[in-house]
Amino acid sequence: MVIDALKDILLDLGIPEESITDTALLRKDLQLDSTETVDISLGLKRRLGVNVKLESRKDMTLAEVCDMIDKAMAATPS
Amino acid sequence: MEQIYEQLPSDFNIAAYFILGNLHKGNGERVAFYYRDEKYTYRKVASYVRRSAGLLCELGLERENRVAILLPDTPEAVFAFWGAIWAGAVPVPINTACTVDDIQYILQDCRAKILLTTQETWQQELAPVNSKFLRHILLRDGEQPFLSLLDTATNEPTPAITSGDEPACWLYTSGSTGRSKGVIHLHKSMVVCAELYGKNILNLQADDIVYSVAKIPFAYGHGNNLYMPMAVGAGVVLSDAANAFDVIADIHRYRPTVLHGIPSMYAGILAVQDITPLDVSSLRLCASAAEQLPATIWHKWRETYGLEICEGIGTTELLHIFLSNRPGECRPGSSGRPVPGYDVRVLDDNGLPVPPGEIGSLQVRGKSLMLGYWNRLKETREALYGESMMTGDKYLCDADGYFWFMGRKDDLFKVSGQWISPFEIEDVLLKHPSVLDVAIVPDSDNGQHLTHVVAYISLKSGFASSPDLEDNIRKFAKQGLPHFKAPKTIHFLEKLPRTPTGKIHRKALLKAHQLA
Repeated sequence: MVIDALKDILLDLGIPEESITDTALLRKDLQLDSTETVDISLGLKRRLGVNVKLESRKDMTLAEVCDMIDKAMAATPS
Repeated sequence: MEQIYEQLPSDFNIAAYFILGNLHKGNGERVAFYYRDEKYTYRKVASYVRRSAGLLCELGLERENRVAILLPDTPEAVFAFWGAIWAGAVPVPINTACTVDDIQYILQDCRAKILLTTQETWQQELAPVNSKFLRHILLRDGEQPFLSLLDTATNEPTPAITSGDEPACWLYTSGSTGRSKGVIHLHKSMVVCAELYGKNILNLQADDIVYSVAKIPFAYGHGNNLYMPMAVGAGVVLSDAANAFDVIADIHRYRPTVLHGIPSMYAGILAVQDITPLDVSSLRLCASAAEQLPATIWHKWRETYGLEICEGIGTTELLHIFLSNRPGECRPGSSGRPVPGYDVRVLDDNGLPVPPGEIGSLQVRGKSLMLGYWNRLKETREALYGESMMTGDKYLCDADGYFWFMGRKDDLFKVSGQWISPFEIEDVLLKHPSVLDVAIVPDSDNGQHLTHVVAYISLKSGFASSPDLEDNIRKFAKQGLPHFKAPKTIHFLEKLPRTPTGKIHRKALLKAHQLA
């Protein structure tokens, strides 16, 4: 599951489990900094083999990140 | 440099010097900066700067009054900065990442009469801020955006006749050891840095497009974005990029020729190379400052992109870079050689120069040195020795004249280009119910990789070390600190080493850590 992979990455980054919800915003709610957003992309590449560019200009919810991952996976040749 | 400095007239307004200078040189139609889809020519910038000056004067701003600018790098920040100087007033850029408490402090400390910020910042974050000195709040957006006020402004005053030796702007230090200090810089100082580093080391030219990861409120970004390109009629990209993906997207979009990065950004771009490869075809030069660039990153960058990174070091007090590597002559892992015009020495405890290869304290002498810290006479007197200052860094100079960073005389260190005091982190960790004693030290594997924060912890009785507890303490730290300050690694010890006077023996911990 995409959300599980994302959740594991966030837990590895030290984000409290109770903060990890679909509607949580990466920057505003989870307080992720520029290095950590890049760490998420690298974690997704490692775990799921997908290229997801998490630019920081638009704050995204975890649900939106999952959508991005789904689209990236669909576009990745298996 | 003495000559250039002395050649400047005693009546000298740095805003007029750069703005009118570019018009006189025929740069009016050249692009001064790029912001999103907009391009601003030097002629357009000149007009907005004059109108900013007019607007600020109409609002009651007088000579030497301070104007606080709490904005991301935007056209408004640029116009307000130069407009204030044009009017003889003093702009004070404030880092948008400052806490509300810090902003409150800075506004009161600098006694700003006018604050320029965003509606969201003012209404949502600064609601509790109260400064008896503030007379007007200007907003970048909302019902009366600053730019629209400028568009309708008609008053375009002539530049104030200022002295080259009077304050032009203030920059606040990061405040890692107490409150931020207002560093006062003079009108002439920006010319000094632009000539010595911008022109002589970087060889900036009018056809350059400059991109800086560091933002205007930091001395490094201040020079990169505001006055060095302007000194030669070059263009600048004003960007709100925060992470490696943003920077890559910007480089592809604007195709800059000069990249002013910081080590963590170079590392980030390299890390995502498989996800978003960077096209470096527009770049002729990469520079780095803000913290020591690990040699491994330098080599990896050159291996990947075929470009060197010209590493340098500067301080807020000297306004910009005074030690730098030169294109084609880089020594990875070193801070390079003195920028001609600066006298840089490594001294022993008696103030005498040490022989090459020996570690001592860094002393820098140069014309861009600050006037002093605002209302901090003691700190100013401690920092300045005539035209020179001790930076607080430990360095050695090798036989070829290259300077190598060896650490700090205090316990401060930098992560992601930002100063960290171990005490702030220790204070937070000591609030965790299991923590009896804690010491924070930096780790960079002897300069081989980026510095990260390591915590050594001894536990209260009844608690036992475990991966779960480590995880719990890391989360606790992230809840109480900006994330870059939270320890990446935690080691549990039965007892922390202490000096005979009872202080935590950080050097022993560091040494033990480096040997581990």
